[in-house]
Amino acid sequence: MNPNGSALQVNGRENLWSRAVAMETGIQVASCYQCMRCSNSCPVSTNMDIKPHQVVRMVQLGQRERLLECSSIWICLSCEMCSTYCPNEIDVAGLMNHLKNLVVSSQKKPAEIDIATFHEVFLNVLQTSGRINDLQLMRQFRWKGLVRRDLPARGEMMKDFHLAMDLLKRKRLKLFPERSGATGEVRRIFEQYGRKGVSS
Amino acid sequence: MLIPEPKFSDAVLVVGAGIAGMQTALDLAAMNHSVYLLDRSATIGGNMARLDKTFPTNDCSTCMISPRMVACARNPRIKIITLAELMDLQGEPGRFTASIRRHPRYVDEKLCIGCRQCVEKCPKKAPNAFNASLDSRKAIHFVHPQAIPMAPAVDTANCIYFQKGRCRACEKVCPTKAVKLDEGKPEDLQIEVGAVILSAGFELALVPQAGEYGHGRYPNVVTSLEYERMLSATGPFGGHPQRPSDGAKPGRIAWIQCVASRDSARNRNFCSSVCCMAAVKQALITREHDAESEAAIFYMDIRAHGKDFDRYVLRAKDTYGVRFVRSMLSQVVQNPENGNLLLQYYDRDSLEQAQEEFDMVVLSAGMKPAPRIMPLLNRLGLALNRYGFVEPDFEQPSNTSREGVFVCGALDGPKDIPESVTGASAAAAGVAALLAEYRSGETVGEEVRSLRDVSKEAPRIGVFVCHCGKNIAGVIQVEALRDFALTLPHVVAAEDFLFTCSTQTQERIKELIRDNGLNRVVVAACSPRTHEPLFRETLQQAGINKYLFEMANIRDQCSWVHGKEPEAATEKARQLIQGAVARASLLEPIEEVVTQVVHRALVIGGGLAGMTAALALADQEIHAILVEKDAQTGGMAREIHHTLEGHSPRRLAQALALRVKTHRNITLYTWAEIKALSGGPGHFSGIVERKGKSVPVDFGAIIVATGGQPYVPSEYFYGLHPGVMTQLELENRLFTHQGPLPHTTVMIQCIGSRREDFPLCSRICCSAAVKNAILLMEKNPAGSVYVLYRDIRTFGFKEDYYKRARDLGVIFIKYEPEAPPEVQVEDGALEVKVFDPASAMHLEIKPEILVLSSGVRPRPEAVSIAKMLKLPMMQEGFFMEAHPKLSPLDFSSAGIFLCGLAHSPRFMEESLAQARGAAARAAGLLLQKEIHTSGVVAEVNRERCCSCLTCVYCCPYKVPSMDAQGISVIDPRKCQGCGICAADCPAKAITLKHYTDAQMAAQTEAASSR
Amino acid sequence: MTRLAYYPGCALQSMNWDYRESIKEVVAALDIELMEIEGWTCCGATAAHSLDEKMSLALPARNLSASQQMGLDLAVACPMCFKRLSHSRQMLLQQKLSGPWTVDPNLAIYDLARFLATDSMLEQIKSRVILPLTGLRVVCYYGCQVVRPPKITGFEDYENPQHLDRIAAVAGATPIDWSFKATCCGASMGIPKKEIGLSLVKKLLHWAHASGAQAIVVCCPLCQSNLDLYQPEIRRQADADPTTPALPILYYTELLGIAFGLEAILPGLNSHLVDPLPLITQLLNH
Repeated sequence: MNPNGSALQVNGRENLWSRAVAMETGIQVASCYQCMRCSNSCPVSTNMDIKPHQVVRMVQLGQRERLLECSSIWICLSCEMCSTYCPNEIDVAGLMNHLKNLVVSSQKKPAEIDIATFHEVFLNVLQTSGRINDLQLMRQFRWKGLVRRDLPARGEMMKDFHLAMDLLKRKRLKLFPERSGATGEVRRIFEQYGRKGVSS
Repeated sequence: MLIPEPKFSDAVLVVGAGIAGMQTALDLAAMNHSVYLLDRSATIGGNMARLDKTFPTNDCSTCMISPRMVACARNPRIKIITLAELMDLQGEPGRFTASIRRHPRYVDEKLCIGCRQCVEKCPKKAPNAFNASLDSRKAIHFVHPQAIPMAPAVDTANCIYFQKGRCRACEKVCPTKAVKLDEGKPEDLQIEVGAVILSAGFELALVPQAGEYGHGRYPNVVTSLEYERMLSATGPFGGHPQRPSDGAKPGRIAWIQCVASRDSARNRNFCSSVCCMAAVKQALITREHDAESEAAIFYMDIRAHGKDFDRYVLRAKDTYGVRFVRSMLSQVVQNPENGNLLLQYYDRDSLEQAQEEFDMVVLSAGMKPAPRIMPLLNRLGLALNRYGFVEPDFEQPSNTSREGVFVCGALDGPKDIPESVTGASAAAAGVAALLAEYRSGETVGEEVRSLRDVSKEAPRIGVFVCHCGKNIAGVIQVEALRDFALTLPHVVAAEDFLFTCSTQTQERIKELIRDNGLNRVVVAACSPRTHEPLFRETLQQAGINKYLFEMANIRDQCSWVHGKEPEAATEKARQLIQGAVARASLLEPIEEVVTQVVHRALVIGGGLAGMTAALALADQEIHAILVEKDAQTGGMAREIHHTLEGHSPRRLAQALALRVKTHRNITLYTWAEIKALSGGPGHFSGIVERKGKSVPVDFGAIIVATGGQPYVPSEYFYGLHPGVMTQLELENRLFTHQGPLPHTTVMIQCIGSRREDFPLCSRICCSAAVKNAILLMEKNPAGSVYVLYRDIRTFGFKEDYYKRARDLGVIFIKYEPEAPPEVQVEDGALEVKVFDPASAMHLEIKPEILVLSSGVRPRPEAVSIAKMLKLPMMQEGFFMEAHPKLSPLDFSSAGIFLCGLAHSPRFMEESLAQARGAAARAAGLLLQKEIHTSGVVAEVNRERCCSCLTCVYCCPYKVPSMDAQGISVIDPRKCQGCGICAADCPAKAITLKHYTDAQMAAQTEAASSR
Repeated sequence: MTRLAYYPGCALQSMNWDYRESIKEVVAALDIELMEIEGWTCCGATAAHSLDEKMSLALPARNLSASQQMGLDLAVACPMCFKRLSHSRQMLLQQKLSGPWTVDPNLAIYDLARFLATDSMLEQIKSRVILPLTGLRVVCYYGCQVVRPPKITGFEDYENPQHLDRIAAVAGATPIDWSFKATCCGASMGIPKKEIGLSLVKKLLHWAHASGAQAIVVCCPLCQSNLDLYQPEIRRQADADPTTPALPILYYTELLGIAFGLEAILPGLNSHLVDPLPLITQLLNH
């Protein structure tokens, strides 16, 4: 019993959102009986503000805004321990994913802007070249961080730099991006689904 | 050519000889049917023989089951066929031909004396499946020490002779040439039976994905049955659990619940019903054994929905320090350095992650029907439910979809031992009713045995000292005691036995009695509480009055409690034997009271249970007098529209009422009460009072079915606010369309149950809430329902409905008893506040309707019945049966039986099963010509009695009464033989037969002399 | 000669070229021809589904379509790509994905390591081993993508996968069982959230050591990168024990390359941050 928990005025329409989620994704959040297997098997649950079983519960209770603003969905590794172990066949990882998608499509600011930015940059590189080039990826990621005034401490930047040098030496970083011949097709897919921007 | 039609037969085939199979066989035999009791293993006993102790009494399982096993073995009507399978069934009810395949044992059961020389000499070992492969046994082996038939079997897959053509050591060493390795081929038998009962039991279902817990991969992850064998004194480690990896004592043990149960992802969305209590029991026993051990149970809901179960769980928690962690696990990690297991979990309330190391993890795995029975079930064309169990029938529990084929035990759904025993008796009732019209009509009385007249003989005592495997012999020097016994006065024969209770030994004892002219027997072994009837029966069979028998308890009261002091224990045993012999020399033969049985039964209460019991008797041509207090029969069933599964209790009540009214073997009295009950088993009498008129009645047995009623809440504004109602009232409202459908509904569970003044769980309320919640959501999909619960106890196949409710959008919120939901009324509107641990939010709900899941209470009329019949009750007011596990339908007082809500909160189908079962139990009594009651009774010396009335006041059973001359009279049929009156009588006018002063004094003196 | 369509994945192009080269050498030795899909594009990895699930299914779908035209079963080197492609394939077969792509239900898609661990392939591998790695104690680390979720990946023993263990055994090494075969290494989370990446890798390395392993065998380039690239930093942390030896992280193809005596994989081994050569040389000298 946590005296510090927040209060929720229930209006009797809580399960509308979970039904919408179920219709859109096929994930039957309502089936959850709060066993906590998902949270207990999640390798990064200690880094999450709202644990996986709580995320599911909050969908059941219609807490859309709160979930779109939380960190947990971005911390999720998509390793799918939760979905595999859920006795009620709830795709918890898929739910986390869906919530991330909602943050993007509703143009809200992600709680973990650096993680979201990383995904955004990844897709930018993909859209441009059809394949990922690590150096380009890192460069763009750091650039965006700089723009946001969110860069790692100097010590970390030095480590990064030295590592990059080492990797370059070992030919594990390529200076020039590799392009795929079918990049045009990729561009068309992006156009069809819309550019994925993460608002900062 | 015409194929001859099979003849009619009233024999019954029982497939599976576990506790359910044995119970049904005994009930059928008591109702004069002959029974073929089959088992595919080499012994009867089933899974119950593998348990250490049973909850909630912590009785030793083997002690409870072995008298039943022996009873089956010595019952002349029961034929045990082991190593046998039913292959096919042709024909129709009353005229079935069963094709049975019997696999060879390679040992002649009739010649084997159970000496175990063959086992000693056998050179080949194999994993011991009975002990879950924790140890090994020989190729020729006894399945377990109390096996019946008491003969070994040869496992040909592991026998050197069968695999390589050499050895044959067992044959060479057998003193009676019972081992016959060349005489064995599968035998196909055709037997004619009238009905078949399937009681093939269960296995643990560890689906392959249970590898997520590491079973089969990490050695120290074991199943519940494996741990049960470890705990058992007859198990591989003598009752001291050892870790499989290194043999060390496991000090910290974790239980993981709901493995392969409540799991839709693995297509097993049902609850195996017993694992919560089994884990609590194992944890409690572990803590009891070793005060330094740690026990933690990881669970979702604790399903302690049976009689006295919640008390047991509280005891485990408060007295024995068992930890309950409400956090389920999916992964077990093995520490490679020491084989320990690491469990990582979140504490539900603090949301702190904890990692704990355990020495051993026990998986509470769910049940499934034994896979080997599945082909038979399909061949028989039986309807199975989606999980492979035989589909249970609501109105006729224990019937299957095929007429003449019945089912009981775990085969039609996971269940606890009392429910299995009940179902077994119900199946027997079903068979008896089916075959009644063809029954030969002879009631066979007990064999009249001519007993030897020993009154002129000097005492010639035989003393038999038991090893009880290692239970006694492991501490006490049994051979020395045997030799010592021969030195005592009047002792002319003494022998020691490995297991004195085995069937072989009974034969040997009879032989010794005959050969030595013994007229008194002393057995130094375990407790007379469990085994005295067995040995008394043996004496009767040998022609000696059964009261010429005495037992010295050198196990429970000696070797078990003085295990660390073997020499002192042996000395104490010596003294106990000395005392027993002294008493035995003064024992007198006692004649029992014989009562002619009145071939009628009284059923008190005309609800579903009462009507069903009456009909089950009536269908067997036993007349039933049914007494109902109300204007109509039907009881609570009249008030319920639908069950959770969609059946109609009202329709059933009406159908039963019609049958009851028109049945030629039932006399129904409505508006009536039974008064002035008196008499004893076989012949009771009473007065039916009906609208001012009195009708005297007499009958041979009584079935108490006084029923129950809802608890009327006094909490949460019930009766004060129109929006607050019980589940019954809500259901009625929904079905009769009274009032608008609510948009928001809150249900609060456990109202009036699981609290200090009423610790019992009312069992049905979770299902009632789920039922109504589903109804509400189906009628109003835009609405919402919140169920505030402590544990959701939708056990068995009801779990599917819990899922259905969730899928429809019902929100379930768990509350702790220390912080129950708060309800306020503001401006006429209800406001409910509850904390939801899963989201860590305080919810404030404004429902239009607040539904209280109020529990079940016994009917107040039960109290007067209890007083009249001197029947015990539990704190909550329900009747107390003879034994909660093995005799749930009997009372300690013979001739009186129990069923329905009077027993405890029940679902309707459970009451129906109990009712049929009680009828079977009663029929077993009523079909006899006469019965004998115990001879251990108090007797008044009329000349000495001074009419002081002390005995009248001190008797707890209210038996003594004053006759016209003012002298105390004690009815031997009702006297329970407790001896209190004999002790209290100031004039020493009362003697307790079989416990006379002279006998007790002699025993005491001899026991205390060195 | 077995011919398969081949989807290498972006990681093999630069960061994990050692995996690429070792695959090339080993499949040649096994008489397998891998025909790279022309114009293959990135599968989208985690980023695509995190931002747009539907688009994330389209990106692999176009690659599937391209490979179908080759009329061959498809082998995928990287488990993440394998899962994304399998997921798309399932959606296409169930007609839940709209677009101009088709998939032939008769053409299978294989994770390369699992393909090599079939009984017939293992026989062939066994016959090519000339330098058995006797005495090399390894734990096999599968990562999370190739195993879960079982509905997509088709694994039955998702809790205790065996295919890398079998390959390691056939190469002569001693695979040790451990509880972390498929526990996530953090994947690309380490870039935006280094602490998370470090802590997950640290845990895996700890347990690999505790199990008595001398090396970790992997099948996923991202897992290899995490376990390899972070190791030096973890070993420099304050609470690290300097006496415990470093754990080389070897691809199963590198393991096979060594066992087959293929010198051409040596440059790849050199590109690891945790140098495996001392351990290998010591082993082979015995």
